[in-house]
Amino acid sequence: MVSAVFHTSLDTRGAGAKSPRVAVATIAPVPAIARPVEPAPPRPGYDWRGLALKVVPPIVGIALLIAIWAALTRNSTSFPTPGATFAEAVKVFSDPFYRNGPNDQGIGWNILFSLYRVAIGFGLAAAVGIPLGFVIGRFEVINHMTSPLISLLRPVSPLAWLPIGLLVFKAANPAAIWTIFICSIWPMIINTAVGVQRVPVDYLNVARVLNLSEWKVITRILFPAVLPYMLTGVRLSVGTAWLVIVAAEMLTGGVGIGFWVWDEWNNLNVKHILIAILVIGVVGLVLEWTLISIARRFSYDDA
Amino acid sequence: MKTFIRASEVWVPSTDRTILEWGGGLYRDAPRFAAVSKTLCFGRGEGLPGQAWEQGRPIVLKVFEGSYFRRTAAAHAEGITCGIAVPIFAGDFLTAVLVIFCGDDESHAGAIELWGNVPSESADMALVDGYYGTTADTFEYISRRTTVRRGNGLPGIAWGSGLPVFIEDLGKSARFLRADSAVKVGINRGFAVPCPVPSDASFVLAFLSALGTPIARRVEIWKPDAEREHLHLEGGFCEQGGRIDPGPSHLSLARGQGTIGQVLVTGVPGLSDRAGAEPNGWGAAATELGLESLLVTPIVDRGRLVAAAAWYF
Amino acid sequence: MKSFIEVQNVEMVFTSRKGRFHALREIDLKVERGEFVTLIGHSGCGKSTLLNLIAGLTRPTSGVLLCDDREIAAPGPERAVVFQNHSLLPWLTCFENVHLAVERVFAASEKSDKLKERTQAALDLVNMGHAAAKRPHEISGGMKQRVGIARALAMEPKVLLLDEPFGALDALTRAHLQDELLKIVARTKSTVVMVTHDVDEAVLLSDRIVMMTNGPAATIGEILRVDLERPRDRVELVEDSRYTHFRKAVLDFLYTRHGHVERVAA
Repeated sequence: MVSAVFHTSLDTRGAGAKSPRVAVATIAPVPAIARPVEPAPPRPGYDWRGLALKVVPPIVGIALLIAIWAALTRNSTSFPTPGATFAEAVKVFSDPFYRNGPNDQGIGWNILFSLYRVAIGFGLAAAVGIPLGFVIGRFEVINHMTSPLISLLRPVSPLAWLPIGLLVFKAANPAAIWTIFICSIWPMIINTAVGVQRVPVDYLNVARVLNLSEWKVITRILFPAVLPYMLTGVRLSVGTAWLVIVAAEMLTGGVGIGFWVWDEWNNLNVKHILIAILVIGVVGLVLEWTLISIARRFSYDDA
Repeated sequence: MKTFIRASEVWVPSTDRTILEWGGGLYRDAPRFAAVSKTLCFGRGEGLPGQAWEQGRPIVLKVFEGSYFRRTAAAHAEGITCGIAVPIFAGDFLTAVLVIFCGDDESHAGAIELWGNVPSESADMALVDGYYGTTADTFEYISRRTTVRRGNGLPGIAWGSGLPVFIEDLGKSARFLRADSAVKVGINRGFAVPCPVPSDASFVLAFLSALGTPIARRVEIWKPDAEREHLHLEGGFCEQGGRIDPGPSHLSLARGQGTIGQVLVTGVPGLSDRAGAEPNGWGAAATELGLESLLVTPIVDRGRLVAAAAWYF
Repeated sequence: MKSFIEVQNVEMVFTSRKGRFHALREIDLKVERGEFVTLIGHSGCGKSTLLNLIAGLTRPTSGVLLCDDREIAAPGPERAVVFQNHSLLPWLTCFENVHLAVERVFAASEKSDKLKERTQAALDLVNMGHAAAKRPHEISGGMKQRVGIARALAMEPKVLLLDEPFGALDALTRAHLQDELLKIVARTKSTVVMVTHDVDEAVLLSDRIVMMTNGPAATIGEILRVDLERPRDRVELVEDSRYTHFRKAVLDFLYTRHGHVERVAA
């Protein structure tokens, strides 16, 4: 089989008159057999088929969407066409970081501000939610104490928390951050708590036999064991957080992508709204992908 | 049918309690041995009965040559190869010594094991000594390396209950009874009798037999009723009839009734070489089964008779 | 004379929402220093419970357990446990897994170089020195179990407790690891208590086999002393009639006398 592989690769390279090479190749396999056997897929060339399967359908899908859009807006006066939107987008992205005033800044700044608010709110939620999740998971009593509260508050729409934020903090920025905080905290608490409860008893028994201190148990055993669950919680939160910030900003104003959407609506600049939608979607996607890749790096196949 | 137990005798202390005197014996086909035995008496520590008295616990004697045994020549002449002496106590007082002699030969084999436990030392009952005759090494090899817990295994069950126990099928898969035999014969029947002693140690004497070479032709376990007026048949095994079920109440034996009933009165072993003369229908049944003699021994725990074991030959 | 491990009249009753479960009754056991004792019995006979009691992972309902004259009140590295499910922490390498144990026991008195030496030595002892940097998911089941044994031994425990350590492995790996365990125990002169349901394993490895009755309220039935000389070679022993006798004795206990639960007592 090894010699067949050699044959094939030489064939695809069209090296017809390489018989002496082939003869050498067939003798050479002896050391190759001594190697540990790894399933070696035949690699005559690049996997065009797989690539095609992954790339072509999405492109077709998007193209289809644009085509429908173009078709629908061909004769419309209020709704812009793909072409017009694209032209506007070029303009917008050509100068993303301008500053004309506190309420008129480049799209780049808007995105960054929104992300900044998400980061703060999110960070606070993690800082509070994850330790709280640990405690809830580890101590049955506290679990019983908090679980009705969590069940009660969790289904509340984060935007309903916004007025409270405005009342307490009296400013748009902290209120928006507060809203992010309150909506992202629930998955973090719950997933962390579940993770702690799901730590295999065997690991805890190892900790007991080793007589590890509570601190060591938390850092060397619980924390790494719970990390995958924690990251799942974080991943679930980030989607919601990004969603919420846009809505919150629409309601509070200031700087941010959500505010920009609302502002452009007031200006009846539909093209900008569409661009904003795209941008919001792309940023959300990037956030998720980043977290997924982080989660993957920290997961380990349990065998 | 020849049995593994060849002879049995009872020795009782004299009135001044200095010697043990012959108190009866069954010597079915060992007349020379009988003749010698009837003439003897033993001081404390002398001979096999004397040793049992001295040591205060059952003894298994397998090698007669050069030991304290006084009837070596007679024993050899009759093919008797092992003697077991069981002292019977009432509290701290020795009331009798029961001695059982076994002999095996080419066509008959059995094993007798003495198991003991000292509670202050261990929770295990271990083999103190055993007579394995012509049985193959396996049995002894494993028994010497096994300890049982209360309630487990033949000796363990007797130990736990304090009563004799008969097990028809020991549940040991067939083991070679004889190394040279072409046919695998298993040791499958066991009769275990507790031997209470004044100290807190526990002893159990286990008689093991194989198909076709029974310890006795019939073994019975009797228990007294609450008032200690009657002995009821609890169970046992008959080579001809199989397992014996508990006897109906009308077949109980009252105090003093027959050899078995006498044991309830005296608290010492009883023997009879006329099994057919037993009262209350037992004699007739014995005759019908062809049983000639019987030996009954009491199990006396802290002065009270808790059971009696009977062997029929 | 005091034994190294003493289990004195231990009872174990578990109470849960489903009710009481009487696991163990009247357990008395003495294990001498350097002895290799196996607990064998059918499932549900409480042998793992007994091992957990000796480990200190569970407290008895009544009775006392002593190790080296001190009451066993809690688990600890001096009674190291090798679990059936290797229990290696998957986010640490093999080296780090063993090092965790070494650090716990010796960090107070030794420098980090010495700790690293100890860790490597333990891995070498089980022939896993070459895989020190690998993570558990990168090695086979047998190797994982070896690392588990290395971790336990690295703590230089007074007692090595093994709970069906080879149960999850295939027969060949099991045989291989049994041989290795024999060599290691000979070298370290450890006192070992092992739970198994494999009769051959018990006869091959043990000095004494503790045979347990069936649950519930299981207790010790019989103890068999296996005095075959060491070192024991499994290939030679197959021919040895004594090995066969021992094996038969255990099988008799397990399958003939204490067969499946449904059999009525004689």
